[in-house]
Amino acid sequence: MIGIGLVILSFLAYQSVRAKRKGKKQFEVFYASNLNSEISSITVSVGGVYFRLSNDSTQYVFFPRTSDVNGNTIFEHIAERGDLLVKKSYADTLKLVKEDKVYLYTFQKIE
Amino acid sequence: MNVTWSSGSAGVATVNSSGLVTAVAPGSAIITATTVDGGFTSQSAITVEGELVTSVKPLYNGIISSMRWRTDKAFETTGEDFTGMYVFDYDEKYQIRDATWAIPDYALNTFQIAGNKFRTVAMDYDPNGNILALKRYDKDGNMIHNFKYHYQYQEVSPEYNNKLKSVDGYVNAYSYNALGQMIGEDKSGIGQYVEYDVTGKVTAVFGDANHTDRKVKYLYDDRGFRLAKVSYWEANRTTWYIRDASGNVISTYEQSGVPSEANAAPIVQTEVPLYGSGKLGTYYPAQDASVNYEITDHLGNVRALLREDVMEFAATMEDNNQEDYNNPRVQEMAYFQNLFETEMDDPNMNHTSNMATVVTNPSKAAYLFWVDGMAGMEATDKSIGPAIAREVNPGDIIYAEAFVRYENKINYQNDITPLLLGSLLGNSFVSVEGFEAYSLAETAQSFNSALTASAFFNDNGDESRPFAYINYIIFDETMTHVDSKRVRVSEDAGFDPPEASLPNQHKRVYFENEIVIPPTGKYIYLWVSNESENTKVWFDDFTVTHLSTFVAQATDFGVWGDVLREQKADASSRYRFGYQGQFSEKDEETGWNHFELREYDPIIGRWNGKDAYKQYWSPYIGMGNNPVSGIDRDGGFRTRFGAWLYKIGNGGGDLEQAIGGANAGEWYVGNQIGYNGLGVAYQRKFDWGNGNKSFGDHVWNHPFTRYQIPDFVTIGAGYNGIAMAGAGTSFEMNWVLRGQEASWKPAITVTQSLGVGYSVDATINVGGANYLGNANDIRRSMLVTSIGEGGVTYWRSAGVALGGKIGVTGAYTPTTTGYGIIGRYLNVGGGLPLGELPFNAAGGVSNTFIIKDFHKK
Repeated sequence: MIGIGLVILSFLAYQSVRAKRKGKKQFEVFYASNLNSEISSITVSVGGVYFRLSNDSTQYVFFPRTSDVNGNTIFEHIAERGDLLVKKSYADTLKLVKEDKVYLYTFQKIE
Repeated sequence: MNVTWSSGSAGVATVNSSGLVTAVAPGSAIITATTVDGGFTSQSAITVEGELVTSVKPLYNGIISSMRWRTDKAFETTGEDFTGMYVFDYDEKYQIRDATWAIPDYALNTFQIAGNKFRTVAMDYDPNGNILALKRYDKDGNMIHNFKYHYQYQEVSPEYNNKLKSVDGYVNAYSYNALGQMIGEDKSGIGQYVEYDVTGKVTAVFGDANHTDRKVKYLYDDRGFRLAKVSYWEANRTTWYIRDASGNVISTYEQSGVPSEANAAPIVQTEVPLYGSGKLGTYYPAQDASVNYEITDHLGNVRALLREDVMEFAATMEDNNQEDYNNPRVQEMAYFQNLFETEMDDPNMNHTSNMATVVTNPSKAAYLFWVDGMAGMEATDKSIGPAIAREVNPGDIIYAEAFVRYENKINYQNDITPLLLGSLLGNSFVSVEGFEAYSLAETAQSFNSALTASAFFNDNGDESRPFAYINYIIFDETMTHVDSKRVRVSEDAGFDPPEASLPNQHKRVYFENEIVIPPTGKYIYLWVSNESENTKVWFDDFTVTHLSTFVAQATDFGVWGDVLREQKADASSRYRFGYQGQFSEKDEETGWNHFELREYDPIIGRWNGKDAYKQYWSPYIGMGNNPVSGIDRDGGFRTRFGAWLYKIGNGGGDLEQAIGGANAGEWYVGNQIGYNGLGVAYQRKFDWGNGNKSFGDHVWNHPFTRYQIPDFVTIGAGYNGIAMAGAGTSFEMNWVLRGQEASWKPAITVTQSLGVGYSVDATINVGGANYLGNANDIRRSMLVTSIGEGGVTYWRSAGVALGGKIGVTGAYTPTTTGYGIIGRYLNVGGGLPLGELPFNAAGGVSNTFIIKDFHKK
């Protein structure tokens, strides 16, 4: 029984490490990216906000922060296909342009 | 007819080739039309009126939306008082975008936008906060800077992020060392090249890339404070800074030349800073103990200097016949009248000591002896001795004294009538300060009127001593009498002729109370006199001390600390503290402001070195790009010092840097006590670290509380059909209780699971889950796990099942942040037992999707 428990714990630990590595890699891609295009797809899960842009087939993942900067508006609640996303390489902030209104989102750094 | 058009002031109005005038800013301009043939001209004066505005939209968040001020013009300067106003505009991150000058009407509490006058505008920033552009205009609305900032990351590689490459119109090329310190700015061959020590302090600045043309060198003490500045700019000169235990400068010494054993030049104490709760000003021991008091704004910028000036003028009458300024006569002639006219060489009547002048054996005094009708050395005008005129300000204080001896007579009379005295004073003071535009007769008339109006002659009854006085009259700016007084010599100042050679016989005659210049006073005239005919009176060391307070310097700063305009009462004076002068020193050698940790260039609004405290994403940005509200006491993190001060003043507490939340990177004190700014312009939010804004947050987000009350609370119902293998479905209502997205409004989710084991049941599930990371990082999307995105929840359940069932479920969801989500739930309902055993158990994976989030707006 204890052996099974240890196996399960080891498995979960491995999955956690694997997820972290994946998250770090995803963040590095997102952080380095220079974005300036419309959203073509967007989904959300515990792994973050996943989106693609109309001029790019890459799937980007990030963890937007809901804060006073964006009027405490949750990113995935308003972001839709067709909205413009703007972020420069290694910038700390992403701009969501929606119907001429700009929302700013900082994001969690995965290090 | 062909006509060309021109505007006399393009900053106010422009005119095109058709003669169409376009207003630019409030003011007046002359529009001129000139014929091509013949060059005939015609002019028209136009006035552009500004938009009258009554208020500025407040921001209600502690960020300054506008500011206005009024500073008196510097003493004895032309021009107008420094009045002004700035209206500020910010971007979404409250980075300054536009500082527009306005002309305030203090009476009506309105203002007019002044076009481009003194405007700083078009400021834009990259997402890291690096400034990308800036336009700056002068007092006439002419553009003086049109900066485009270029950064290395725009062309090279991300590792060079945030470092300047060039600024169009300012620096052709910047260079940095491997530590990110700016080591060179090339301004078409006249740049500045910097050397640093191992602690990051600038040790030298050169004018050439080869480091041969040294401009300035800095020495530091063991604590990293500036110990000396050796300037090679204009002339070699060394400034030594003496500091207290806290690093505050308590004295400054100056020495010609550079530090070396061979340098025998005297080291002179030149400045002593004065401190209250902050720096108050500077005391100048070598300048008659004068003081400059700083008037600072909310940022600590020195907007004006009020000089408490102490000027002492003494008529020693001494003269060594040299023409240099060390000769007392040369100095005294600059201020006093009637020196030549009354001087007499008589060691017995001299009061001046050997120490008082550079004259080896002082021997002179003013001899006031006159006989009516005589000419030459005994003429009536010898009744007036040394005399001095001063321009004064209301509130100035004057002290005056003289030392007198007279030869005794049996009795004395006042033989000078007011009319005669007025005439004699007119002769003495004609064309001096206040009477520059007056004729001799008008000058005399002014004194006559003053003497008639005042109770000046009020002691005629006492004939026991000479009618000899120390006197003053104060006039207003129309040379009308304001105040006057005289003090008569005392009886004990007399001597009989055989006693003439006795030493130390002079008696002091003086005004017992200080002379305070009344509100309308503009000029004061002081003199000594002997109004008794045929009476021998000697005055010496007639000394006037003038304590005045005036605006010695007025300065207006642009938003980044650049000097917009400045007036000085003494054009040659240099005050070392200006922009944020409470914390920094302006180095004229470099044009940079020296803070404790690094150098700031106000022209471009950036630091030359990196931020030791890593406050912002770019370590070079100035004042968080909100220089209107923010200060930087040491060039590091602008609030850490404030937090430290708060800690000291409020009973301690741990300094802690928030690592999460919207205020990540900010410093906080672990005591939640009211905070009133401590000199920081916008209110700080002290919290309990990790982004907790209040004590309530701190408790709510504490691990103990989180363990007792989960981050996610769930109530749901579902069924499982797992026999060896199988699946299940459940529906839940979830409340997110922590993080920025917490809400009492639930999110409804559906969970689909796959499992192995035995679990055939239908239950109501109550429980919760915790995110193992920072509570402020919790998001509502953490409810969702999607195998399509690689996310999955691992679960395991077990319970007692005998038709009814009670059991527990544990779950774990790895996340890509590195912190998982762990859940535990109680299951109550119906369930089948595993054969004869009264329990069931299973484990597997699940995905959860949000069906409806009531928090979504």
